[in-house]
Amino acid sequence: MSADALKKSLSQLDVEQQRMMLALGILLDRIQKLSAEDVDELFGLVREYCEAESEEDRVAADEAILEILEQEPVFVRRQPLKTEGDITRVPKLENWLSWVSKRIHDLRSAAGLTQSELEERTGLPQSHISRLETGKHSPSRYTLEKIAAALGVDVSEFDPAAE
Amino acid sequence: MRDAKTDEYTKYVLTRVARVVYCLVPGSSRHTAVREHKEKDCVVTKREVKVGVHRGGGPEPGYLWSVKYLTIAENEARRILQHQHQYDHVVDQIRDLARHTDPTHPSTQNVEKFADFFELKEKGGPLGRINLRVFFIVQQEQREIVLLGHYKKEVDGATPRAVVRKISRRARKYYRGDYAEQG
Repeated sequence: MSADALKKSLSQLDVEQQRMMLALGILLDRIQKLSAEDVDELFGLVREYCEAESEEDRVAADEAILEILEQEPVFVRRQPLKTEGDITRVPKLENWLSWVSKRIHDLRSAAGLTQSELEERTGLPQSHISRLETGKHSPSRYTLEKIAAALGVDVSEFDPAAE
Repeated sequence: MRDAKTDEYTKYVLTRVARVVYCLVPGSSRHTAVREHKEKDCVVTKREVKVGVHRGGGPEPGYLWSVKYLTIAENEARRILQHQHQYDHVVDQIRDLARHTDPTHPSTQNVEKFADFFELKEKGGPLGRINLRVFFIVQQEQREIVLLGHYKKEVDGATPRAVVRKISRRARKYYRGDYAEQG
């Protein structure tokens, strides 16, 4: 098809159709520039999208496809790990730490257990329990579940967000 | 001859078109965001990720592992964890991993092996209703934990296969040195 004929054909399309044609061209161009590995991955993901059984699976496939098509530059950075004394936390996290650390200390004491005895029951290092009770570390849900089980209480005693 | 599956795929590709073209339309918010991101990153010359311990590298005092992350993983974390206290809580969990002799089997975190990477599960507390997954690999020789991505699980059950594929692809690219090191 000559350029003139193509121009004439395109002019017969409405704006949305022209955008669609342009987009198809761009899409084809992008797919042609992908590595063979990414093309395989792309079609694997299209299959995942079509066979998705839930909306969550569909959205996940959609995002993964977009990541391949967009080919955004990705870099590697180093995460600075401050020592505990140098960490500054926002007030909301400070409040949480202050509350949960006291809760762990109080419920352990009420159960008549030392930190070492709690270590034996939970498998958590005594040094970690000490850091939790002094508010130096924000405990994971996994840790709170272990402590709750060892003290015979529900995890919601430590975490109001627990169902 | 076209079958139903081909029609389904074609329909899917066409539905994707509008979104892709929107990224390319000058003046659209998405186009501006993509351009700004590219311009910011273009100042860095691409080079291979170094393998081995380098001067000034290695774990920081008090830690057994150093931590690296992909910029795409940070973007995901910022999108999911919209409040600073939530973000800081997750950073605390990563610090905790870096203190463990074996970050793939920590006594304090829920970590599982998943395909060719590891998955840390965290929810509740400062995260509230967010059910978070943090994906990482461990480079034994370099003593490095590399964060590959974050995902917010919407409903209980397995992590979507597409997420597993996406993170596996990132891991492959990282191991191959496709991602340049920055800073």
